[in-house]
Parts: sequence; structure tokens; C-alpha cells
Amino acid sequence: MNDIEQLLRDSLHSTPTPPGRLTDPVASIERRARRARAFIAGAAVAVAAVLTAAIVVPLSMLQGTAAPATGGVLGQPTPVPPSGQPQVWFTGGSVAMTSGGGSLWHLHRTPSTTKPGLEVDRVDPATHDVERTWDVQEPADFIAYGLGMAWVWGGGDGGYPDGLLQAVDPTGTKSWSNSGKAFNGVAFLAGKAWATTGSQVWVVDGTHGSESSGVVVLPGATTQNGIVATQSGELWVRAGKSWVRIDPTTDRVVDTVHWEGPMFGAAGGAQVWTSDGSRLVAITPRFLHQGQSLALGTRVVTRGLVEAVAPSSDGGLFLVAVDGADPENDPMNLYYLSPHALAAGNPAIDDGTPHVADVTAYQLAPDDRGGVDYTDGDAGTRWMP
Amino acid sequence: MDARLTDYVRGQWPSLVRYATALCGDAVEAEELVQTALVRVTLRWPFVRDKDDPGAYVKRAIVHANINRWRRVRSRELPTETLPDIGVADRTSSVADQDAVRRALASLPPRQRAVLVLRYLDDMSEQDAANVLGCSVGTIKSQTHKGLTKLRATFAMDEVMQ
Repeated sequence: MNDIEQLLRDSLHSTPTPPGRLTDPVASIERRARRARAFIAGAAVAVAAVLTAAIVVPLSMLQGTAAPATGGVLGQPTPVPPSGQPQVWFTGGSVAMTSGGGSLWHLHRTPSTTKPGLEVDRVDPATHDVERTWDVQEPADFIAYGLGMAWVWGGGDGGYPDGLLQAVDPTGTKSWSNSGKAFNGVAFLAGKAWATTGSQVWVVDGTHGSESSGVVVLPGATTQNGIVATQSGELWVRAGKSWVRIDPTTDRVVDTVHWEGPMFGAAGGAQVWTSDGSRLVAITPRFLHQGQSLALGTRVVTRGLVEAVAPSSDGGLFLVAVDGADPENDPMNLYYLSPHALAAGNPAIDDGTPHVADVTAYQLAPDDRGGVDYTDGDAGTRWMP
Repeated sequence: MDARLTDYVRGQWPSLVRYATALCGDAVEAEELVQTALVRVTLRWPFVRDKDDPGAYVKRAIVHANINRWRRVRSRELPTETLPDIGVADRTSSVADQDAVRRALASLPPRQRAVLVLRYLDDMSEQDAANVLGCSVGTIKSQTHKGLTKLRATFAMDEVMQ
């Protein structure tokens, strides 16, 4: 070993301990972990909302009319849970869930403590019976349903050098995994799957999982699950301080608007749920060229940051939001706004809004009977407001 | 948070911040870096194989968090030909030499810095360092060589300035 190597070794081993600012690092980490789970939930629910809007519920919530339940009915007797009381149906490591194809798709940790891993269950949404289970690999944080398959992705975020995108085919013919790219969002439109990574959008082949050559380069970095397909057939991607529209037939960027808000999923028609700070807002992105007053639709005044949104099958709305101005310390609740409340014009979350207290929801998966399933990172729960 | 991880964090916090300081070159950033990594570990805890001794997993998470942090902020960083504060150390003191080395280390690109920290602080083999960083052993060799060359060059310049 020469001098510089020895000097480097001595130097590193004698690095002084810097004075700490944190008095209780464990409390700080636990608080941030709770927020991280909530952030993942908020982002993941965007996909659930897209799928629900496209597959399960033809939304007419903004007009205040009840939407018919059209998909996912298995013909099973439906047990009726006590109204207003959330019911835990899974414990011990629920990671994420979504609805689609008439089933609830549940990503969770394996019950085995000797062989930790991940599984995807296809669950009967009425009885919560597990119909079939598939093994999937880690890392996996999100799940969505599209093109007849359950899509799972995660990683690329510090704990792992690379990301992983996997698909589970219920027919058992074309399950696959795609490693190497840290995909952070997936949406489905026009018979294609679209996945974001970095400042790019890829079309992913649903049969083999390979990225096609149809890569779109964006003007800024994408965000976690910042990709939404609207009910009217527009594909929007959040890229830096802009939202970008991609033509699904030519795979090219055809519109760019300035909007920095998060994406919470499709809101019916050409609208997307977003936030302008203290309000949850349904926005028609392409109308932003003509001004915000035209682009902004329904606005829900909340008490704090919105983390997750999903339409209810009765035309109402589920949302998870912080109950207060301090997102680090105030609890989050799961709220339900009825079609009547939404139709009243600029509704607000208040003490009378039906809610489940202290829900750090991990993902929302509304069913077609007015209820919603969610996970808080450990338990799988159903709530019928 | 699992009790074992809680115990580990409480016991090793200063050491982890010191480790992160070596990686990122800034004590304030280091504390943030360790928190970011430990949040990730908390969320991934069920998959940590050795729950009674999670040190290796935690350090790996810190290394990757630092590389990711650098990816996010690099557009704001401006490369510079010379380092600030170089040339003020007392060359007769080994403590001053070590301090100069730490400052020179901080000027290296994060991946190169990570390679040197893994090799010379953690005493990892080239293969182990390659596993942590997700690259080939050849990359570890070349990054080590380049990093040490830059450190030598910085020191040579330092002596000229003396």
C-alpha cells in the first residue's frame, strides 16, 4: 500500500462525528416512513383511479348522477358489512392493492417468516376469499391492472440499484418481468401499456414485457405515478413543472401545459384530479392554455394535503387527506364525499364528512358496491361509508 | 419500526452519520442522507435477511441514497478546477493531512467517492464493492485508480501551494 492509500484509510477511519441536529432520530425516521407510505399510497391510487374510471365505473360524478356498476360482478352472495365501520380482512404485510377485471388484486408479503418474499393474490371483492396466488420478486411497491394482467413495479429508489416491472397473467400464458429500468408509473390506453422512467415514457409490450422503440423524451423528470389516462382517451404525464400530453397513436408529445400539481388519477371526461395547494381540483389540462378559470372544475376544500383519491361507484368520491396544516404530524383520514355533496358546488371537508380516522392509506381500490378497499402498509381493510 | 432496527439506529446513529459524511462530504447532508436511507430500510424491513445485524444492508442503502441524491442535484452543481480551502493546512501535522484528504475526497464524483469509502473505510473486497454498487469488478478497479490518482494530484497541488 502506498502513502496516499494509507493516508486515505487513516483519514476515513478518523472522520470526526459531526454534531447531530436530531434529538430523536428514531422518531424522525418513523414519522418519515409513515409519510413515505402515504406518499406511495397517494401516487399509487392514481393508477387505481384510472383503472376504475376506465374499466369499472363510467364516471358521472361531476353531474351528481349515480353511475351504474358495470364490471367485476362475480355472481357471489354479497355479505353486507356494518355500515360505516371499516373491516380488516388481511393482516401481516399488505403492500398495495387495486381493482380490475372483476377482482381485487392484492400485493402482500408472504406469510412465511423463513422465506420472505412477495405474492399477488386475486381476491373476490365481495367475500375477500383468495382465488389464486402468484409469487413475484422484490422490489415491488405498486400494483395496477390493465391489458388483462396485474402489473407490479418498484425499486430504483435508493435501496436497490435497479427497478423491476413484472406482470401476472391470470390465464397463465404470458407472465414476465423486466429488470434494469426504474419504472415509476404505468398507465393503460388504446390497448397499450405506458411506463415512465426518468424523463422518458415507454410503450411496454404486454406479452413479453420488453420496452418498445416508442420512447418519448419529456421536457423534465417524471414523478412517482405521474401518468394518467383520462376517460376521454387522453394520456397525460407529469414532467418537471409541466404536464405533457402524448398521442397514443403516434407516441409523440402533442401538447405541453404549465402545471406543477400532482396527479391523483382520472376525474371523468377529460379531467384529472390534482391539487392547487389546499384544494383537491378536477382539471381539464388542455384548457390551461385558455386560463385556469376555464380549466378548473370541481374544487374540494380540504384541511391539509391530499394524498389519495378514488371515485366511488355511486358517483361519490373517496379521498385520503391530512387533517390539518402540518403534514408531518397531523393524522390522515379517509373521507367520503357523496354525489350530493359534490353536486352542491365547491364542497369542503368538515367535521360532518363521513370518514375513517387515522388512515395512512397505502392504496385505494373502490369496489362496484360503494365501498373501498385499502391498505395502510400492514392490514387490508374494507370501508363501506 | 421493528425493535431490532430501533436498537440498531439508537446505537449506531453517530457512526452512520460519520459514514455518510465520508460519502457525501457534508455533515448536514449526511444526517439527511442517513434518514432517507433508514426510511427506506424501515419500509423494506421484512426483506432484510439478517435482522439481528442489519449494518451491511443499512450501509448499502446509504451508498445508493447518496448516489441517487447526487443524480437529483447534479444539475445544480458547477464543476470547478480548484478546490476551495486547499492550501491552508499545516503539512507538518498528520491530522491536517487527514483533513486535507477528507476535503479532497469530497471533491470526487459520488460514485468514485463511494468506491473509495467502501474499499478503504469498510475494507471491502473489489467483488463486494461491485456487488454493493451494482457494477463490475473492472469498474471498481478503474474507479479506485482514478480516485486515488485525483487524490494524489490534489495533494501535489496542495504541496506546490505550500
